[in-house]
Formats: sequence, C-alpha cells, structure tokens
Amino acid sequence: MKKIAIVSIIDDDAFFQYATKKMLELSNKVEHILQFNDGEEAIRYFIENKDEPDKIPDLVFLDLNMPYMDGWQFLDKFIVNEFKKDRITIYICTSSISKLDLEKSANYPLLKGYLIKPITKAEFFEKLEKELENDSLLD
Amino acid sequence: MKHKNGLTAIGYLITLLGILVVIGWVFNILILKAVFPGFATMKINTAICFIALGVTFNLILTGKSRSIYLILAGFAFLVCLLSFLQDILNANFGIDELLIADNGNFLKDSLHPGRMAPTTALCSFLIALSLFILNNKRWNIFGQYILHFVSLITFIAIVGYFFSVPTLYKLVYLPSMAVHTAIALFIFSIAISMVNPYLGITGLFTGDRIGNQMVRRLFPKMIIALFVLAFFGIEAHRYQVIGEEFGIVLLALSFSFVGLILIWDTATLLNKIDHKREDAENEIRLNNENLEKIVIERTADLKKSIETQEKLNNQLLEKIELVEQQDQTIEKIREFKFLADSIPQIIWTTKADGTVDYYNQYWFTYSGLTWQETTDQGWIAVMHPDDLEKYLVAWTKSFTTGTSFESEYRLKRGSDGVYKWHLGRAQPMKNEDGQIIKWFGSNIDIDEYKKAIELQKRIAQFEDFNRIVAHNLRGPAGSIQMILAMMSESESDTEKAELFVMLNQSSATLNETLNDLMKVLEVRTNNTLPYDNCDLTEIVAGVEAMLTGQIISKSAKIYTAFEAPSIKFPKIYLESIFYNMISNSLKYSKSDVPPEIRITSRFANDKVILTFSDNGLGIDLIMHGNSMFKLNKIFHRGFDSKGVGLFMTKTQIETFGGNISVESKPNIGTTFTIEL
Repeated sequence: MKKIAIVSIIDDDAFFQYATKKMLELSNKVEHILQFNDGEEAIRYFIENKDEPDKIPDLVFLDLNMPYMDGWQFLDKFIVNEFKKDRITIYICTSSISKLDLEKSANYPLLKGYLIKPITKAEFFEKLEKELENDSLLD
Repeated sequence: MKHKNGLTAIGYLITLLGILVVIGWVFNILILKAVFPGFATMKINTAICFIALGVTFNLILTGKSRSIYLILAGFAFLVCLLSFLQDILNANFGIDELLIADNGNFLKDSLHPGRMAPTTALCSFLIALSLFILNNKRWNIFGQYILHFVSLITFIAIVGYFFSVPTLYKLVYLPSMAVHTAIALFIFSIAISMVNPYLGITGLFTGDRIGNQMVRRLFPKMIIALFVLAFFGIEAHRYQVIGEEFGIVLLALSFSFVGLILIWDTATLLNKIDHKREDAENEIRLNNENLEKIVIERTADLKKSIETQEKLNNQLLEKIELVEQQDQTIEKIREFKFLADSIPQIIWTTKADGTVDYYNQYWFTYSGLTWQETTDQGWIAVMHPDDLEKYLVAWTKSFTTGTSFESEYRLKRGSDGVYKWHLGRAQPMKNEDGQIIKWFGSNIDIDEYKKAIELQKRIAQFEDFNRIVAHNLRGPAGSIQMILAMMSESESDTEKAELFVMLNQSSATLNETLNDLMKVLEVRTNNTLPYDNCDLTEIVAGVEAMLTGQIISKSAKIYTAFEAPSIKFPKIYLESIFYNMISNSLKYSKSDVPPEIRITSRFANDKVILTFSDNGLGIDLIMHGNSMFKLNKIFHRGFDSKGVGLFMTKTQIETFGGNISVESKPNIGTTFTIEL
C-alpha cells in the first residue's frame, strides 16, 4: 500500500500536535511525521533542505496563529524560495473563523485548502487520500 | 551789378549828349557843339558815335538785343577807326563832312574840317572795342585796361582844359578833343569799367577792403587838392605874382601840408575803424568769455537742475512704489479677507499682544455671535469648558515662546449648541527684526475626522477582539473539544492519562486568555476613568521599586529627562505602561551589556510625548512590525514570553486617546514613542 513520505505539522498548540500525530499514525498512510512548534523553525528546515527532495515534506498542515513567526510569515518566506520538489501540498489549519483570514488565504494560490479547527479524523483522512490520489496521478 | 542805375543813367547821358550835339550841328548851335566859344567842337560823327555807344552800353546793361548793339558798336568802331586811320595814314575817306559841313570851324590848326580829333577817334573806337569784349570772361581784363587808357587820355585832356594848357588837350599837332567830349569819354570809360568793378584799377576803388576805402577817400581829395593848388600856382604864375620856381616849391610845400592833413584825416579814420575793429574784437572776445562763463554757469545750472529733477524723480518713484506697496497691501488684505471669508472654516488673527482683531465670516456663522459679543475673550463661551485649560496652556506656551500653536478642542455651534471638535492652529507672523507682529490662526472642524478615527480605532479594536476570539479563545476551546472526543474514543488508559494532561493545559490556556481579555475589556470600559495629574518622576520611582531585583541583578541604569514633569492620565494605567516598558527593556536586554533605559517627556502642542529607549536586543520590525502590539505575539524566543504586555499597553494608551509607535534595530535597541 502506498504511503505519503513526509507529513509536516506546523503548530504551537501542543495538543494539536499530539492529536494530529495520533491520527496520522492511525491512518497508516504516512511514513514520517515532521513536527514544528513555530513557523520560523519550519521555514529554516525547509530552506536548509531545499535541494534534498527526500527531506522536504510532501504534505504540510500549517497553523496561522503562532507567537514568533505565524503561518502568513511562513508562507511569505516559503514562496520566495525554490525547492527541489515537484509538489508540496499545504493546508491551513486554524482555529480562526475570521473572514479576514479566509480572504487573506486567497492571496496564496499555492494553498490546497483551509481547515478550521477542531478538525475531525474523517477530514484528515480525506486530505490524506486526496494527496495519495494526486500523487498516483502524477505517476 | 553795383550801381546799375547810375551806369544806366551815364549811358543815357552819353546818348543824350550825342543827340544834343547832333541837334547843335543841325541847328548850328555853337554852345552845343563846343560848350565854350573858341573851344574845339564835338564833331557830328563823334556825336553819332556817342549815341551808338550810349545805346550799346544801355543795351549791354539790360542784356537785351545783342545783335542791335553789335551793329551799333560795330558802326561806331568802324567810323572812329576810319577817322583815326585818316589821321595816321594822312588820308581822307570823305567821311568827316558826309552828313553836315563843318563851316564853323575857325581853328587854324584844323586841317580837316568836320574831322573828329584823333584822340577822340582813338578813344571812341577803343571804347567800342571794350564794349565788344565787356562780357567776355577771357578778354574783359584787356578791355578794362583799354578803358583805363581811355580814362588816362581823356583825363589829360580835361586837365589841359582845366589848367588852360592846350598842349595837353591838343596833343601838339592834332586837332583838340572837345571839352565835353573829353569829359564824356572820361566818365564813360570809367562807367564802362565799373561793369567789371573788380578788374584792373577800378578794383582798387570799388573793393570793400579797408585799402579800397582808403583809396576811395584819399585819392579824389588828393587829386582835387593837387589840382586846386596847381590851379592857384599856375594862375599866380600867369599873373606874375610869383616866379615859376617859387610856384613849384610852394606847390610842393602846400601839397605836403595838404597831403599831411589828408593823410591825418585818413589815418584818423583808419584808426577809428581799427578802434572799432578792436572794440568789436574785444566785444566779441568779451562776448565769447561771457558766453563761456554763461555756458559754464548754464551747464552747472543745468546739471543742478537735472540733479534736482533726478532727486525729485527718485522721490516720486519711491512715493509711487510706496503707494503701490500700500495699494498692494490693501489689495492683499482684501484678498486675504475674501479668501478667509470664502473658507468654511474658522480663521482668526490677533495683534502682537494676543488680542483677537479679526474673525472671518464663518466664525460668526458658526458661533452665532456678533463681533461685539466675541471680542474681549467672548470666544471663551464657545469653547468646551473641559478643553479650556488645555487650550490655555498650549496657547500661553506658544505665545510666550513665539512658536506655532496647535491644539484640539470642542467649539459650540451656535445654531444647535452641539460641541464639535476643532483642530486649532496658529502661526506667528514676524517682521524683519524677528518680532511677532501678528498671529494667524485657524480652527478646522475635525469632528467628522475624529469620529472617523474613533470609528477606525473601534474597528481596529473589534478586529483585535475578533482575532483574540478566533485564535486565542477558539484555539484552546477547540482543543478541549477534540481532547474530550478523543478521550471518549480512547481505550488505552495511558492515552487517556496523556489526554487528561493536555486537557488541563488547554483549560489553563483558555483561562489565561479569558483573563487577559477581561483585563482588556476592563480597561476599555474604564474609559471614563478620571484623569490624574501624574508626576512622572514619582511613577518611575514606583516602577523601579517593583523591579528592584532585576535592576540590581542586571546592573541596569535608568535615566530620565522630563521636560514635561507631569501628565494628565489615569494613574493606574500610566503606572502599568511604565511598568511594561521598563520591564520589557530589562527582560530583552543583551546578556553581556548592562541595560540603559532612557525615559524622556516633552510637550508637543497640547500633548505630551513620552519616549522609552533602551540598548537591548531590538526587534526585527521587517518581520514583526505588523504584529508589534497584538496579543500573544512574541519577538524573541526563549524568554518565556506571553505576548500580553505590549498588547495591554497599547489598549491602555489608545483607550485614553493616545498613540504608541516603535522604532527598533536588532542588536542596537528599541525606542517606544507614546503620545498622550
């Protein structure tokens, strides 16, 4: 059975990290889970490994509200870098139900989706399936 | 031609004489023929030639009938020449008595009756010749001397008659020239020579020079004198009164004497003329000198008058300029008033002493007051009582320091009594010496603007609140929901235990956020809190006391410079602001450099500006500039930051009408500027 090589969770909320990791493990569709508590940690990792496709996550769950570098700032830095990877799927995962945030996300076409916390197991599994489908389409 | 009339008269006289003599011959009147009995007669041929020559002369003078006078002159010339040739060649051409026989000639020596004297013939044909060449430019000088020769011969003849010396008028063997012939020819020759007055000897008599004058004056007198003396001498000798030699000596002596008198007279005249000339010269010189003097004086006068004129002109120009300036000033004042009246804002001016001397129309429209009501501080009634003190402080400060004035205050609208916010501004107008001569002020209605700002602030606050709810409240709340869901699904006890820990954490986070939010709401609902007069030094001392531990452990230094010693602000919040600022500076200081915190205060119009500067870690504003004052934002990692302090500070400042801004450079330091 095919699996997603690397899924990354970027969130400062300890419980969200814990719960998401649990679900991803439970799905049995993910090889590696890469966890970052802040946008800055994440982008540093991405830039450091931009020429190594095997280390760059295939799927990213990105929180918006983080104390040091938030999701927007992460995205701003992300889009100005080139990564040696054909496809990096990014989902926003936020507790914000603010229209402003939703509207702002439209400015980043690379975003695959906008998930509002709490996110159910079913939602996560659906995204994983979709990712695998797209992956196989490419193959 | 000079003396033309006289010459013409002589021409007529000659003609007349010829006619008279012809008449004399025709009617045998002796007196006409010889003038004196026994004297030689003028022959008829001579008389006819005289008529021809006289007419010729007159024709020449009038310049008419050239052919006629050529014929007449030619005729006279031929007749005389033939007569003369008869004498020379001793021949008889039979012309002498061709017309009338000369029976009355009783003179023994007259061999040929009716024949004119050879001298007469010579003189007559010479005159005819001279008449031919009278107007010939090349030959007339020759003619002139011919005439002089004629004058000389006839003169001798006249002298001979005068002194009764026949030899002189008879020329020894030849028949004598009649006395009237001699006189006529003498006068005639002179008259003809006068046609060319500047030629020959005639020129000597006719010139305008002083020499000519002398000749004219002296010569006739000398001749007359000499003749008179000679006449008497000869008569005396004839009557045997004196001897011949004595007569000559006497003549010489008497002529010397008469000559002296004549010369004396002439010299006197010449001297007179010379004097006159000298006088004239002197006069001219004097005139010249005077003229020079006058010219110099006039030039000086002229220069003076030009200078005066220039001065006057300059004065006039200055005056015109002044008038123009005044006109312009008046025009400018009018323009200013028109402009000011056309603006729907309040414009005012004060004198140097600060008393209002002008309000534009809009002030009266807005306040509903008249000029009488508004002068002498009538405007105080218009201002909101709460703003009066602030206004007076700001105005007094500007007025005493001569700096521009700015303050915000509410003014009561006359029509409905509603207070509207105005931004008052005033600028001092200074003269060239830098002294204030006037203040120009304006009150701009900023009520709408203020409301808009207020609205914007509220929107911003609402957005903040929305964000806090969306992220900071919904986050942990959502987590709790998920945890509970997971707990209910979980079958493992260890997992349940883990989830329980997380439930506690999320619950605590939720609680904290709620508390923060409560504090914010508390501040915002406390916006009616009274303003205290906060002494800044006192507040800093209080905060220092609270943070003593950190200050000592970090060897921190706090410097203050309070230009504005106190601020009107709710004291608990001002203390909180100072606490947050100072504690942040202590917290985010460089580990190896003792913190230095500088706090200043200064007036800016009706506000006070506070600054907090440190030499700490600084903030990357490129990264964090947008989220500086947001809840739960941190700018330094590893400091156990919650991102609450600046959020609270901003809330406190903005709730009471202030502003906060930040300037910072990583590793250099941060400066917060707060306007209250």
